[in-house]
Amino acid sequence: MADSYFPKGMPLPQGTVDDQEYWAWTRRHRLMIQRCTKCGTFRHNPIPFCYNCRALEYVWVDQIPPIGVVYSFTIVRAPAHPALVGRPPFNIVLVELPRAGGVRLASNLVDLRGGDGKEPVSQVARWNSPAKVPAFEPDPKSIYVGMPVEVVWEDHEDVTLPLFMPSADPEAVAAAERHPKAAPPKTGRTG
Amino acid sequence: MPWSMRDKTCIVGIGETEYTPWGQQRRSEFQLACEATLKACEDAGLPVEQVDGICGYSDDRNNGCRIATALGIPQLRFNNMFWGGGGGGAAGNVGNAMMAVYSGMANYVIAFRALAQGQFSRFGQSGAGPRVQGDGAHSAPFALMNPVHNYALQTRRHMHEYGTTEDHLCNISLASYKHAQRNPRAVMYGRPLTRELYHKSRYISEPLHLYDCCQETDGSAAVLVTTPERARDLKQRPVYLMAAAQGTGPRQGAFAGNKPNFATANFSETARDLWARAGIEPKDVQVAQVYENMTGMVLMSIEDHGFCKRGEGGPFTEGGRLEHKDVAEKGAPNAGKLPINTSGGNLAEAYTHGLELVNEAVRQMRGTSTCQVEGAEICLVAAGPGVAPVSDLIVRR
Repeated sequence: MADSYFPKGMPLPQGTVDDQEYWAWTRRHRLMIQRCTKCGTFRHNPIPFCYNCRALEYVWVDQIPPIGVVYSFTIVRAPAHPALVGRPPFNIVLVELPRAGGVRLASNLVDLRGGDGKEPVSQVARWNSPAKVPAFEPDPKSIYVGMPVEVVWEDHEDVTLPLFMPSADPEAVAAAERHPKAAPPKTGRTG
Repeated sequence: MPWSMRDKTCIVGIGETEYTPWGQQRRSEFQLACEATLKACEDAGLPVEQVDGICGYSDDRNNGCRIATALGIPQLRFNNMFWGGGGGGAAGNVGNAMMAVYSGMANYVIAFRALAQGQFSRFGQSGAGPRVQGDGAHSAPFALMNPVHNYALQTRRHMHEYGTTEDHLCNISLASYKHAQRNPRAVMYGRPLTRELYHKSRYISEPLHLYDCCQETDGSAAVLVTTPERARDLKQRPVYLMAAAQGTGPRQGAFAGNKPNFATANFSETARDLWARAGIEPKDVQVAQVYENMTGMVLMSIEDHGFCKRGEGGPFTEGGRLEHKDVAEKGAPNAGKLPINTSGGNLAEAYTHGLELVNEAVRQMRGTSTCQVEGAEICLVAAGPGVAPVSDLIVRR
């Protein structure tokens, strides 16, 4: 991506002993989630112990393809950091990873479109030349809980963030279809 | 067998400074803390020299030892901090005072909160630097850096799962604002809210409007806890502490949206303890003070405490149920059934991280609230929704 989703001056991650490997993997454009070798429980954020069985041994499970489903989202209208003054509206999404036991990532949804800004870019074109495809702010009205999404890598000087974009990947679509649907509203406007 | 601490301690004094919008207070936060402490003692009729315990929460900047030093307290026997940020300890620090008194660690314990954000940094703003480490590294770079964002995500999820609407959230905000119009101490006194104004107001973080969010105000509040025996020599009729509970459910400290039971306020386990200790049920409560960081979390708190079933919190707010019967619309079918935040709460009275809600619970039990619920015998204080730990308190006449 040519530009970052947020302006310069936003905080960027700095790895610690517990999660530096995670960030080393994102730098190589790999979304890796910890899984306990003993009991198979996935976990995120990266931590030394399995919360289910306390084992220390784990493996990194590569998310191929790196797909997910929007679990919840918000459109932010008020800046909460000096670097964000003038930036809203923007979105924050929680993305559930079906290939990693449903752990969630906090992230942002971007939209990638062709040069005319209208047609979504095909999967193949994006994988072949991701750097050439500009990112757009998705229409806030288009974001919904249960939306199939896939990773877009946002490279900064020395760290890479996993962002997401709408996905037509069959596995993402299938996962989204399994996602619990919204209950019908019980009431309308009430007094 | 009843819980050993039930009714064995009581609140005998409440104190508070004036409440002012963020940044307008000229006296120091530390002075406000001392003033609220002195006022609680004065209300009780206790010389401040007798205070021998001080409890705080939410990383209060005003260490009890500083207060004791400044006020010339000859011996401090208990100086205590409740872990966790935000309002999670508003009831819990009174619970800690209760334990100190019951156990004999101290005789007269102050539980307080002082907050003058105008003199320090704002909770509504992140001061994150260019690099973040640990849990924050997985949220702040994506602008998930403020409580309102987390609660917006939880509220959106609740809407998705159960069909909760913005109008339901409005009902919670309206209750607080209507109650504040009868409370001259409230920062929002004289500034009524209507349903139209709510829906026209700007979003802070969708689906949360401006009026869904707590204020940022300056002020301090304190309560004085002792035993019923000692209370006999004091001025006020004691308000009994029936039960207290604190803690957190499974993995509720997980970051970046990884909490299980995501669309809840993290009270399920704590509330279960609370009702068992008090030996009562939700239906026995006539009035409740439910901490509002954001309205969606109030709705989830109501569900967590069993006032209604999970997912029914939205419809539960309808028909004026959360409003005092005298301020509800005429003919509202549920008017006054469970008035909440009868002083205006965090939304419309003041944001002293919920300690003002404990003061209001005491006023309801004394019969001196500006929105007095007739015949109120028992009041719940639920503090901290969505944070970990949270805390609860039940007081009775």
